Amino acid sequence: MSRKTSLLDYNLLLPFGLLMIIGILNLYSATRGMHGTTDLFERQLLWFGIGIPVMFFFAYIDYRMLKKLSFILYILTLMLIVLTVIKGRTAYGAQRWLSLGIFSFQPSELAKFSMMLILANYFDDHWLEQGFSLRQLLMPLVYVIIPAALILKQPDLGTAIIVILISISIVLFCRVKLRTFLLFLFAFIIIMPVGWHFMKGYQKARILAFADPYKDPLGSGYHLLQSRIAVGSGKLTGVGYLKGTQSHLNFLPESHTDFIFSVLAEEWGFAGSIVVVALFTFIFIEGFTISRYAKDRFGVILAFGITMSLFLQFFINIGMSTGILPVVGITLPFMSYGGTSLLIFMAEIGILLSIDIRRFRFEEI
Amino acid sequence: MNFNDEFNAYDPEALETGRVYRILFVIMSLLVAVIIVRLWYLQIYKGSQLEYYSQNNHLRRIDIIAPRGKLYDRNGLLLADNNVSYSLYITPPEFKYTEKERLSQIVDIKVKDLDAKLSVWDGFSYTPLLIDPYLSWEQVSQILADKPFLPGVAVQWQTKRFYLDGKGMSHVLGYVREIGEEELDALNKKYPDRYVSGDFIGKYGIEKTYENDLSGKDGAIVKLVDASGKEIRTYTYIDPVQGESISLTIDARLQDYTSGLMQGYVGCAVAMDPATGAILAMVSEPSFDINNFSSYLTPAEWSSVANNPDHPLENKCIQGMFAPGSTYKPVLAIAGLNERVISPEKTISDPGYFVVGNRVYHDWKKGGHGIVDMHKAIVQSCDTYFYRLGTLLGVDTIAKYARLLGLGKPTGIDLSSEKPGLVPTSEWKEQTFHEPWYPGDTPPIAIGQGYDLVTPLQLLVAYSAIANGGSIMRPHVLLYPTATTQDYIVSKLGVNGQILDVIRKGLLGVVNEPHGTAPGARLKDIQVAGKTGTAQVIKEGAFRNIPESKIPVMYRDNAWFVAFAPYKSPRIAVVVLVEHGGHGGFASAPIAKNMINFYLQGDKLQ
Repeated sequence: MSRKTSLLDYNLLLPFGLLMIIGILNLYSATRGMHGTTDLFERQLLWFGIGIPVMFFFAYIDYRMLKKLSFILYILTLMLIVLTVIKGRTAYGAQRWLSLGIFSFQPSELAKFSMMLILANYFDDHWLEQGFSLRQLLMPLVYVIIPAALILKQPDLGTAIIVILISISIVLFCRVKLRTFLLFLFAFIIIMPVGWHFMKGYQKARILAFADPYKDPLGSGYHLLQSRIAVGSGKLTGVGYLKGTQSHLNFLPESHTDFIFSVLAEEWGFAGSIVVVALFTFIFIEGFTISRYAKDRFGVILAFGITMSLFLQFFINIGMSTGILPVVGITLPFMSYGGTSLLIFMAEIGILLSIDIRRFRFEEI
Repeated sequence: MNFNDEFNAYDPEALETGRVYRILFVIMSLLVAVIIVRLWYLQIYKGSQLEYYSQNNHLRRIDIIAPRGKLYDRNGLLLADNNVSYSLYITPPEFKYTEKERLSQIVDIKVKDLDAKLSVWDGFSYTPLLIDPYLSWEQVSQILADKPFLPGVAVQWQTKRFYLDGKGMSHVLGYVREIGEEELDALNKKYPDRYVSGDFIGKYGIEKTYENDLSGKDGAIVKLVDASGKEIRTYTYIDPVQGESISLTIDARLQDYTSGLMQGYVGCAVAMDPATGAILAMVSEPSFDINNFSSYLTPAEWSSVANNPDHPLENKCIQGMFAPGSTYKPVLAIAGLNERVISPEKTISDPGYFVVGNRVYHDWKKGGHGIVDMHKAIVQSCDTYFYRLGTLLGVDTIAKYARLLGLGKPTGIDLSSEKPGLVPTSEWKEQTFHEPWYPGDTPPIAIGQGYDLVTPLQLLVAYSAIANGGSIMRPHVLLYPTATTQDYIVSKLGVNGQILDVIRKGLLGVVNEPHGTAPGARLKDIQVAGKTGTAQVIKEGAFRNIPESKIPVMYRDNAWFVAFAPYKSPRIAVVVLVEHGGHGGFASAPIAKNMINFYLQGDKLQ
């Protein structure tokens, strides 16, 4: 057993550990100023506590077991999402949570993970060296569309977008024929206006607000402007820990979930923001490196998918906090409040570790 | 366990593989660079400016109260609208407290009261506080002239409720007043974000019942303010949304006319379509001015209304409970015929009094009415006949029919504070006074002078049922275009039509036969049917211990008249109660007659 410990990838564990600590401190600051919700912080600590053994558990088991489980997990996820749509707990007008006694569970978070597993499984089994064409992509398309449509129905635009983007990344990563790629691009351009038609009013409003936040500064553009002000007022070194006014005075709603980065940026300034961006970047580099040197194709695709999902959420979340992307409710990994998502991210870090460990020793472990 | 055979090996050194990862790293680096550049732009390049926004945050919201929906009568005449009023706001962190004196002189508010209004400030908010909702135009111009000395003082215009006739239909329309703190909390739980402090809500009448429809959605002006709180420019303007307008079943002309007839009296009058329960007019006198009530009311105005012994704030039509007097007699007649304890032809001899045990109950007519059958008993309002019939029926059977006619419980009209009235039973007396029902208690009940209490509207509903063939209607003031008569039927009387015919003929005789009690309600072209009532006013305290026969007869009885017309197919039913009006036939019947005439003849002219 001690041999395995020594095999753990500290290039990954170290930046992750630092981010975790920063995340905890920052969440404390973000939740402190709110009335009657301070137990959010304690709940999140509890989730970290649960997450650490979960992470090591996934590091120690052979990730190839997951290939066998991928289909079952996929079906289970679909069922959970359907259940959520039918009888889930509502927050902000959307049904995203499944209440399980004292805590609630957000199946759409699980969907991201299930999605990459089933795609990794599929492409592993149907690998084509010369790239995929439309016919081979039909099955993955079905895999993606079902959960994406259900999640949109909740409605959770942010997660649906992530699920779709992860899937597209994996497909592109596994390489498609140029003709097929162009076909999909064309289809996307056609579908865009239709998709717009089916969006909820507030979702459209957010995207329009992104185009011009000053049009409706207390409505849809409010988050954008407030977040921009919070981030900007941090300047070089920040206003100081626990001293951020924008988030604490409730000028910035959702500061503990979607806009957690704004709290950090206000209190720690450009310097603190860069540190966090750098730590994330280390994780991405290490994740892609693990993918590259994994021993089998399933591991390669899975490690890529995990790292890509972290990167996508990182980029979209910070992009939206800083006003370069529209507001779609997407959390920042390891930093935002949210138990389900944290637990799954930590499990994914464990899987990356597991893929890394097993690149040398297939047999013994 | 060995997975090797099943798993597909992968060659990280393949040329193609290296290319994929190189592309990946380039894309990732670019996107991370975008974020870093953006952070630099916001935090370093724009940092000072955004910090300034943050420190002087920055947007101030002033709510614009939404205009309420309009009120119309059944013919589309406007009853209530909105006009503009000016109110005074203070933004506490900007306000110079040394200028309190100056302000208090202009707006006629005591410094002490001003302090009280300002004391709710939380210490940092720039949200303006409402100080005075109704400034006169002179006050507005004075404040504008003194503006340099009054920082943080603002005059805001808003829409204000306005009633075209402030006094004529106060009790139906009701009024609006500023929302109370407790009400605000309660309403916010029910309708989040709908109401803010300073909003006006319906507190009485239709304004209260249909508050949910009438109140609109407030708008706001959002202003960008600088470090000193001074407005730089308007950021955005959110249009208020007017509430829904509603139409009432009230006929404004009849209402106005009735209000005129009732001037100088204390009492009330209601007109209703007996077939549908639609209220055509509802007047309670004395009245009060709802335009005053919906704006600023001086303490003197308030006390003159609140301390008036005739209770102007009470809608006597639904909130006043009175002894029905002889108007109760048809209830017994229906009970007697339906229970078959008597037939219409059966006669009694009336010596002018009726004896139960050792008590003697007198008829209103000395010497009595002679030989009396049911028709004559109703027409001449013979007490002795009904003493006897009441005794035959017993209190509980009378109560059963009173309830069938809708008495003893609220009619369900869409106006608040309706009283239920009282229909006594032997069980009720047992519970209330811990005494059994004595045989001597029944005769007073039979002529509506016992424990019975009715609201004028209840009586009207009961008579409408007699008029319309036995349907108890739910009276209503809201004109709901798609509703059918069926929707307003509360219950059916369940009595043979021939029985109601006997009653109706009797009521026709009351007005039109030589010895009827209400010749004053007779009309040339229209057959009016009705019943008088002359009810002794019994003080509640005395009500308990003094036996009926020993209460001294008061000179100023309550005068009732309930009627419907035309006799053949009634289109209007009316109840008039004049408190201390004397005999129902003299005081109330002419008012009812005029209402009927105005409504029916007026219709003919159209």
